[in-house]
Amino acid sequence: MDSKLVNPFIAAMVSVLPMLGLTDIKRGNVAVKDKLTTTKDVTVLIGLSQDIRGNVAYGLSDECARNIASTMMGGMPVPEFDEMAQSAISELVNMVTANAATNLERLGKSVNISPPTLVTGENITVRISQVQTLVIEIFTTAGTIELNVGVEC
Amino acid sequence: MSEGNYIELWVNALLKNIQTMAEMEGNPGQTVAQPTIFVSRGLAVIIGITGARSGRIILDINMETARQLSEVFNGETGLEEDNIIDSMAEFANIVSGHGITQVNNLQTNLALMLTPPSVFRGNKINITSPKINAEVVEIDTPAGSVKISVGFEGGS
Amino acid sequence: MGKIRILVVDDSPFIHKAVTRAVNTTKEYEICGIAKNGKEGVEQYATLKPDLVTMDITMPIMDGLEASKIIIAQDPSAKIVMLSAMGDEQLMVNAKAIGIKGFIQKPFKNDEFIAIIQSA
Repeated sequence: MDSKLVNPFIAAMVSVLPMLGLTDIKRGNVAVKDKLTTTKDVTVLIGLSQDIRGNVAYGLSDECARNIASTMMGGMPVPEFDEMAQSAISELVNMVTANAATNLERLGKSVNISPPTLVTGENITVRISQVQTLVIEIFTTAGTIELNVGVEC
Repeated sequence: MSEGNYIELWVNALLKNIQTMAEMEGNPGQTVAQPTIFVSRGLAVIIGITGARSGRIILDINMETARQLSEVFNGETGLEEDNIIDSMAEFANIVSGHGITQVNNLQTNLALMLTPPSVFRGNKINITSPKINAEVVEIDTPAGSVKISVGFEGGS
Repeated sequence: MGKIRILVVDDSPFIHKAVTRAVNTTKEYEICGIAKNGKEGVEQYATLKPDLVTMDITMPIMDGLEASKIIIAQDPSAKIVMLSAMGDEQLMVNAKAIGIKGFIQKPFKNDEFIAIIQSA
């Protein structure tokens, strides 16, 4: 797995999340998985194509998702991960991925991103790629976001 | 002028391929606008569409239907869950490929491409695609029901 | 007399099995390698030097058209048959322009598959 390709995603998290009010962004554990099994309540999926192909999945707990949505909406309480909160999280993921795509452009890679798909459920197993998936923990004040990158070049 | 989802092309692709690959006849229901939340029956394959328009396809079944279809596709029984997931991912890929082929031939300027499939397995899976207007068709087959949802980002 | 060696490049394990089944119905062909994406395909082509390649289009990392371009640039005599669920006219035009020798649309029947690789 080429870390050169993962860094644009981490950099995007670090630069976009504070714009939405999330601070103290830190990178945690990095792991490689063959198959992504997520215990996260919420997964947001974005597909990539053109110079870099594959899928990126952002995983977060229900609580973290609601905290982030609340922060994005100026501190408004979010007791349920409802349509409004889902919309906020999808927007966040879209912005981070678009920012990552811009970073990749600077590396000479042109990337098209698909619209985000948000998946919630219980005991979810996700297979986002037939190649190894790099799993990176990103800590924020609102909780942990799990960045799963199933792409390579 | 609103641009459609061409869902009928994907339904055709699904019917054709379930006939070719499983020798089963599918019975499509009505095309309906997809509600905000797509509730999965247990196994959902999501394939992204990129190009001049972007969107996604969801192919959704329950595990029993997935097992039955996979057994016919592979010509063997007693498949492991991994094989079933692979088989359904490929089936969704084939259906999507045939769908995209028809769209690209109709509108040569679109040059639509597919992303690799993602497969979600689990309980109470809810799928939302906030920027997308989708339509859903439920197709009844001897192996059970197969749902297909196709949507693109709002007209450019 | 050795068998004709085929490299299968596809991200779907289902297709690996399906192609294996088709090839096993013949006496003259055998599978010499399986690659899961375009990049692996390019690498395995160089190591295995197969007689023929079946190449998917939609794969992670590097797609089939990219991989085919690279393989053909390195070996102009390479025999690549595209095996894809997509088959629109523009794609076929692009594939031919790259030097791809044949095209099989998924899903395939064993005898269709064999007929096309025989004519490549």
